[in-house]
Amino acid sequence: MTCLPEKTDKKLGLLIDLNICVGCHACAVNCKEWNTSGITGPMEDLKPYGDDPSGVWYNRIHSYEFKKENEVDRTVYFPKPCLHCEDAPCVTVCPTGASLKRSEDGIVLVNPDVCIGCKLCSWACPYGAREYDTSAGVMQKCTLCVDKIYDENIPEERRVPACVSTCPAGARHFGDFADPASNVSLLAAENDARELFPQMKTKPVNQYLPPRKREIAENKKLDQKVTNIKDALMKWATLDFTG
Amino acid sequence: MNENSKIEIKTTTCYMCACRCGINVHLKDGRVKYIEGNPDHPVNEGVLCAKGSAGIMQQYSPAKLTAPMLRVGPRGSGEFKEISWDEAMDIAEGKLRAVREKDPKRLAFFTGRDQSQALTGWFSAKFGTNNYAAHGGFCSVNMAAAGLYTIGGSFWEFGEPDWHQTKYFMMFGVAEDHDSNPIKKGIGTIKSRKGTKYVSVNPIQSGYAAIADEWLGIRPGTDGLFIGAMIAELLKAEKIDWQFLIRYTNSPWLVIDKPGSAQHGLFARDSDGAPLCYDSSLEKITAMKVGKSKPAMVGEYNLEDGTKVVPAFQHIAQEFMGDKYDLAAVEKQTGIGAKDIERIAAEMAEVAFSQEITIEQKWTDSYGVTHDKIVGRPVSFHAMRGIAAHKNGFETCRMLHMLQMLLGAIDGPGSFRYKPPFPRPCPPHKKMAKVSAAPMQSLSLEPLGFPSGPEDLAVDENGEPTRLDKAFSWEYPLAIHGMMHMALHNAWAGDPYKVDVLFMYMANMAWNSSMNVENAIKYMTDKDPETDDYKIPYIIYSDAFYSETVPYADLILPDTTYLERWDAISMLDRPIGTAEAAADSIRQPVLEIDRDVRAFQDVVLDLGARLGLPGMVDDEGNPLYPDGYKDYLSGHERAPGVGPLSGWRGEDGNSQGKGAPNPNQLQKYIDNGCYWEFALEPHEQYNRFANQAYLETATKMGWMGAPEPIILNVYNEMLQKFHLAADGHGDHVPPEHARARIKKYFNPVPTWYPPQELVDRNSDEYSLSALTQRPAHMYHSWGGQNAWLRQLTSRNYLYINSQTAKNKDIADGEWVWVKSPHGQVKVQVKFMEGLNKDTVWTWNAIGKRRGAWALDENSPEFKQAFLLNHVISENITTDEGEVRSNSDPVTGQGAWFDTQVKIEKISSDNKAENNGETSPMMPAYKPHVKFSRPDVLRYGFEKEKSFNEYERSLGTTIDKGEK
Amino acid sequence: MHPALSVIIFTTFSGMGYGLFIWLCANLVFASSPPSDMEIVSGTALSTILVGIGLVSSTLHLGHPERAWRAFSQWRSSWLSREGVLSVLTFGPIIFIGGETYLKLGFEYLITPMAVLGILGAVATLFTTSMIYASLKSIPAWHNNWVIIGYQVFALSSGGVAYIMIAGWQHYRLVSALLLIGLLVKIITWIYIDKHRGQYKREDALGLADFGRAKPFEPAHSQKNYLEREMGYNLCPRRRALMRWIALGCGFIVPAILLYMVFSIDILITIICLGGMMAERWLFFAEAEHVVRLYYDKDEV
Ligand SMILES: Nc1nc2c(c(=O)[nH]1)N[C@H]1C(S)=C(S)[C@@H](COP(=O)(O)OP(=O)(O)OC[C@H]3O[C@@H](n4cnc5c(=O)[nH]c(N)nc54)[C@H](O)[C@@H]3O)O[C@H]1N2
Ligand SMILES: Nc1nc2c(c(=O)[nH]1)N[C@H]1C(S)=C(S)[C@@H](COP(=O)(O)OP(=O)(O)OC[C@H]3O[C@@H](n4cnc5c(=O)[nH]c(N)nc54)[C@H](O)[C@@H]3O)O[C@H]1N2
Ligand code: SF4
Ligand code: SF4
Ligand code: SF4
Ligand code: SF4
Ligand code: SF4
Ligand SMILES: [Mo]
Repeated sequence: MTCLPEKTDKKLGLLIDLNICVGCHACAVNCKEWNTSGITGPMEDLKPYGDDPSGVWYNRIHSYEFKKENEVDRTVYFPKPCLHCEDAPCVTVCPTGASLKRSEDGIVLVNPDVCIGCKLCSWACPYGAREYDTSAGVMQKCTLCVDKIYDENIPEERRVPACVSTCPAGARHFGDFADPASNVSLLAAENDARELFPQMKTKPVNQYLPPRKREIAENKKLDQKVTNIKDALMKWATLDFTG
Repeated sequence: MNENSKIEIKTTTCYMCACRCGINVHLKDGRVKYIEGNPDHPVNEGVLCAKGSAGIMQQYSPAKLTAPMLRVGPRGSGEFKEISWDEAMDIAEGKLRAVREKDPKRLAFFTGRDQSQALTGWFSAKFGTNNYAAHGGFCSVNMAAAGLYTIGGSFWEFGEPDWHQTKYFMMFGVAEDHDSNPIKKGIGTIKSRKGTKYVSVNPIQSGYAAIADEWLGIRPGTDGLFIGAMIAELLKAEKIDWQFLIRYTNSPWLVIDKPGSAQHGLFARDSDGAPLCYDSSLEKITAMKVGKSKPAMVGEYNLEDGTKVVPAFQHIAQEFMGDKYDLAAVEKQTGIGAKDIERIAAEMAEVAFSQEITIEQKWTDSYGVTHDKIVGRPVSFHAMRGIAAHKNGFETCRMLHMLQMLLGAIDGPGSFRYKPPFPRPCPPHKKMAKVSAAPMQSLSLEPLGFPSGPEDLAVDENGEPTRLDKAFSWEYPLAIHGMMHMALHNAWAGDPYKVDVLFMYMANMAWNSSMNVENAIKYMTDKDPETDDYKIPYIIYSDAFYSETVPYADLILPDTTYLERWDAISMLDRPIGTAEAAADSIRQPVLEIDRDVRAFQDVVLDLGARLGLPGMVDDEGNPLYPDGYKDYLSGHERAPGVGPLSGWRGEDGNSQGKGAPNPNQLQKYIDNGCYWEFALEPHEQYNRFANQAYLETATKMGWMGAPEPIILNVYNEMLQKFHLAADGHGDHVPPEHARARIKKYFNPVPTWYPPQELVDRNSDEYSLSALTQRPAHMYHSWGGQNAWLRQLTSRNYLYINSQTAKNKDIADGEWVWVKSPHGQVKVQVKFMEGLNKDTVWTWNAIGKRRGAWALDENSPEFKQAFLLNHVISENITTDEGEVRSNSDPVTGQGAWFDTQVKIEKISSDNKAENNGETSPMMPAYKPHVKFSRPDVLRYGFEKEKSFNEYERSLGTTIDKGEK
Repeated sequence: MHPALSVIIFTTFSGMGYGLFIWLCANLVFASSPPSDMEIVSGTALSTILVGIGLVSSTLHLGHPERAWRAFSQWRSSWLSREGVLSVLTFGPIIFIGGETYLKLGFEYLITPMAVLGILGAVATLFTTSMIYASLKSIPAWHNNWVIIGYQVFALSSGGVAYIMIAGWQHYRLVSALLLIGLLVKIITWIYIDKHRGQYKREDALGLADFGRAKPFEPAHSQKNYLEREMGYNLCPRRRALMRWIALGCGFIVPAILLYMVFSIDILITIICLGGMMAERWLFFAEAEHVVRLYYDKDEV
């Protein structure tokens, strides 16, 4: 199982639009809420009411300030779940087969019944997408909500990952990147989609749309018809406002 | 079959914040498994924010109160004993009865994040006290009042940008807002549409401002100058919608120009009271007839008696084309470049006038003209506390509406659009009680309403306040939401008088909702040396959690959580409509109550019944609503046919808006996902201030008294009446001490003036504006107890522009003192680039007081996080030596964002101060119960299948890898 | 990377154990005067103990030690699995050689072939161990050939020191030479990783290199999470310098000098060497920066 499938039938994944993300953490919390009762939950919280609260999250929202010469610095929010890489090093390093990439849709999962908690996969993942659960002694990660997107009790249009259906800004899209006509493929193609850390050669399925470039026209200005109040009152006194 | 098959889904309304989203609560074994947005709900259409998604952890918070409590130790100690509800209700009843027998105004009833104000306000009226308000007075009343007195509506629950059609969107001073999810959805929509520009005006580039196409890092408190300068640009270029102004606003109305007279600045009217204009085709003064008159917009004319009159518009032109909004000066004050102001005005004008949106849709205006299309100027705005929470906020907000009116961008396609029941007449016709009732009497009017002139103020024969908080007095005449932030101080000071009982609900007044923590605590704990009793003798408080305020109450009435009770988001209060539809909603209990707690609304009705208040008991004195709020929601009639809920009225449930009570109403709501929606016809959806079909529908639905057009106030005559009163005109004149102030701040045309702190003697020393922002994932103080949310933010920093910091030799991560004339707080600094250079800021209400919220004593919320409120104050001393509330002089809005501070380094040898902890660090409460806090939390459900079986059951073929 | 004691013990002890075993086997196969029974028995025993301590320690590091057996299953893809399989297989020759020598069951003709297998097994195991680390692209300080070379050389040098303790001084020159080679390898490795620091930038990790330089604004969460605790180790330069001297001194220089001087208390040399190796391994982790830190506090890795 630890071998990667040569090819997956689908490449399900997320397209995250940094042009729209306002960093609200809705996706992060809703993810936790769904998945803590989900296929690989619970997701532990350590010292939940204590001096150093932390816990397992499948999706975390970072933020950065970008500085570029002659431009106003800009703030970018950066949500980061697992990217469900095609060449997922987290899978190949796994000694037990607990880490797996599904051949039918490319979803990368950890089988908590098999994982020995060696943590090696978390070392192998360049993106920090693996989360160790100390209580269960196993590795956890984004499941792409496999137990939601295939759940036939859920109306079809709602069968998308929790983070996608909840995102108030609509910054997250879910779909099949293997299908060039899918929503995500089209959006990616139209908008200069980015792959994270190409140097790592993991071929992430998830992609990111960059923030929209700020284009500020120069020296645009209204033509003044009147320059001061005196002229204005004189001129407007004779205008016919009925048009 | 899979694990979800045993799930039961119930709909209700979220209350992790005031946005009122619809939720589907997934329940399993009587516990919440998952909460998701209700896809059909008009507010959130299926999305759910971080707070809403953390509802499970709110429900399982160890800080939940579990039983009524009676204080046994000194106030603030946290020493209580648990008592029974019978005992608690007896005590509360006894206290309230004594007040009502003596003098009802000696009950001050202040409710914070109250979504049942239609109930609590009504209760106060029946009790007989006008000392009632919710939190609005310190929240964003400037925005609400400016809107209601100018365009008959405002942002948030009053209206919204036309997210789907706008082409130019500008947002002022919004970090999060009440319309939390709709705004995010809206901005997301705009940002995924090419060709729509989104400009954010905000000193801080975070959250919504981060994704703006252009960010203007304005200096706090100066937005009025920026808007004024844009108005000047538009005027000079004649890029204004004359037709809109003539038809829908009072711009052509003639204003009397007779300085010194009692009519100066008022509209000239004919004998029928109709406003006059100068008809330039008839070349004479006539009654203004929309559609018929060809009014002059400027010029000097004379009435028959020779009185000089000028069109109102001329006053606008004079204000905005004057020196005050000169670009160079504005650039200097606001920090926004003159070139940028010119450019933005040009962009706006271009979109408004060259990219109109036309909808082929017939509609008829109130003046009998049928138009075959609807034309919109797709420039839209949204603004909130960033411009409201200043002492010049009322004027700034008015100015923003002025800009909208000049562009003709109100309630058209692509512009700002009202949400029913708005627009309302400006001001709305509802008047408030002027004084409290006599012993054992009720008020016929509610404590809050809308004055429409000096005669409506709540003052006594000497012109002094009749309300404890001084709202509606000459001090703060248009304090239409009351002034909760002054209640503690005034009750403590006995100014204007003392009260016997302070009754509070859902407001953390001992902490983040007080403008200054130390003061608030002093007011609640100071004793009167004569009586040796507390200066505020009795405090009853209802909270659902162990907040910072709980230890200061004498009697605690523990509330349920939002998943355990009935509630209504009523048309009588702050409904949930959208631009296209009116809507209201309910909350139904989805979980059983597992503690000895009661819904506050039930308690209020029970208290009312025990006190025998009219409307709460029948003729025999038996409770009218024995089953509490649930009964009341469908049974209560405010006026014949009008009740808390608008849907499924009438005995058969077929009426909407008005109709007899329907005993099955709540079930109907539940069957419909806990909300009711009433869509407006396409021809009713725009220009509603003068859309005859809409106005008739609104009247039929009970939202308006009569289907009369609403005139938008470019020129506000009512404010001029106050101005005249200050000049000594009329029967109602302010007392001497208030005159200069009223004259200065009450003007018919909006203007900008600097907030006190920017000009006073301290302004050089305290040169940095200190702001707070709401984190999207926390609701004030109550998010901090939430095991998931606190992991996101359990401590805050003071953000400072790195350049400013370097000039002050302050390093990233350094601990420093933030000082204002009112106090000091020790904070850790973090650098930020996207930040106005004169501004520092932090997240609001992350800091907590030790002992509260069931958190461990060493929690970061206590030790590293801090509250900015230590350096704010509810009172300030003006240069004239007058002690005034730190509030807008017109509306009483708390001016949180006028706070000016300086930063002082801590010397590196000062080991005691360099301890990596905040200060002041108040002593810990000693709650009488030991909170049960798990060390590890693993929320979830027992697995019924192994991973493999589960995965296999997901309807996919399993043939993994090794192909 | 957080230097976890369990993993430090695992790699240093088993390294020394396999190194010792290789020396023993090499002497069995090639030496003109084969090792004495005493030497073989104590050598294999010590190897077993050292490798055993290493393996037990590595198992204790697991979240589910009782499932450790599952780690043998993925040898086709996982270096960790391969290492597990090989290390267990290599126990075969060790036990066989030690057992046969001690019990004399009559299979002594198999000792030499077994020793050959033992050498191959131990070298292969060391190789797989090194590959667990060297295969991780996400940790540039490990993702290079010097790590592979280092693991072999350090095992041989430290194992050699241990072998001297058991078998006497005949190979001490060779071992000290190996220690010096180890010293060299370590220094080269450090030069190499120091030189290659900073090859990845935060902007690469974010996929937004064309937006200028990025610096963190708000962390995802206020308090540290698993990733920061596991990968976010911050080594201060003074500590690094100290540890480097300890690693070089105790791991290589002091043992080499003591061996050269034929210092009489050989067990002390072994302990010093093991201590040095542990310092080396501590640094191996502490100095290695994981690229995930680019999302957190590091501008470059
Ligand atoms: N520095 C600074 N301070 C500010 C502001 C600012 O911008 N800067 N903003 C101000 C503004 S606008 C506001 S509105 C205030 C808000 O301040 P508050 O209104 O005080 O808000 P919370 O802190 O959320 O307190 C509400 C209380 O309600 C309790 N509560 C929660 N749920 C329930 C329930 O179901 N039933 C009952 N009975 N109680 C419940 C909570 O436990 C909490 O004690 O803060 C103000 N304070
Ligand atoms: N998540 C969440 N949502 C909330 C709340 C919450 O606590 N959490 N609270 C609710 C409540 S009670 C309220 S009142 C609303 C408030 O909603 P907002 O009005 O969004 O309130 P603030 O977070 O105070 O944000 C004020 C914004 O104004 C900016 N600002 C300050 N001064 C100026 C100025 O002079 N000019 C301009 N242009 N901008 C300025 C600040 O930088 C900040 O971005 O949010 C409501 N929604
Ligand atoms: S929910 Fe959407 S907008 Fe909010 S942080 Fe996640 S991706 Fe960004
Ligand atoms: S992001 Fe990390 S955990 Fe996810 S598939 Fe890629 S390497 Fe594996
Ligand atoms: S921690 Fe679990 S999933 Fe990760 S590599 Fe080890 S066994 Fe595999
Ligand atoms: S896809 Fe599912 S598991 Fe992954 S981040 Fe989104 S909600 Fe979490
Ligand atoms: S915005 Fe969030 S917290 Fe507020 S009501 Fe909606 S889902 Fe609930
Ligand atoms: Mo508020």
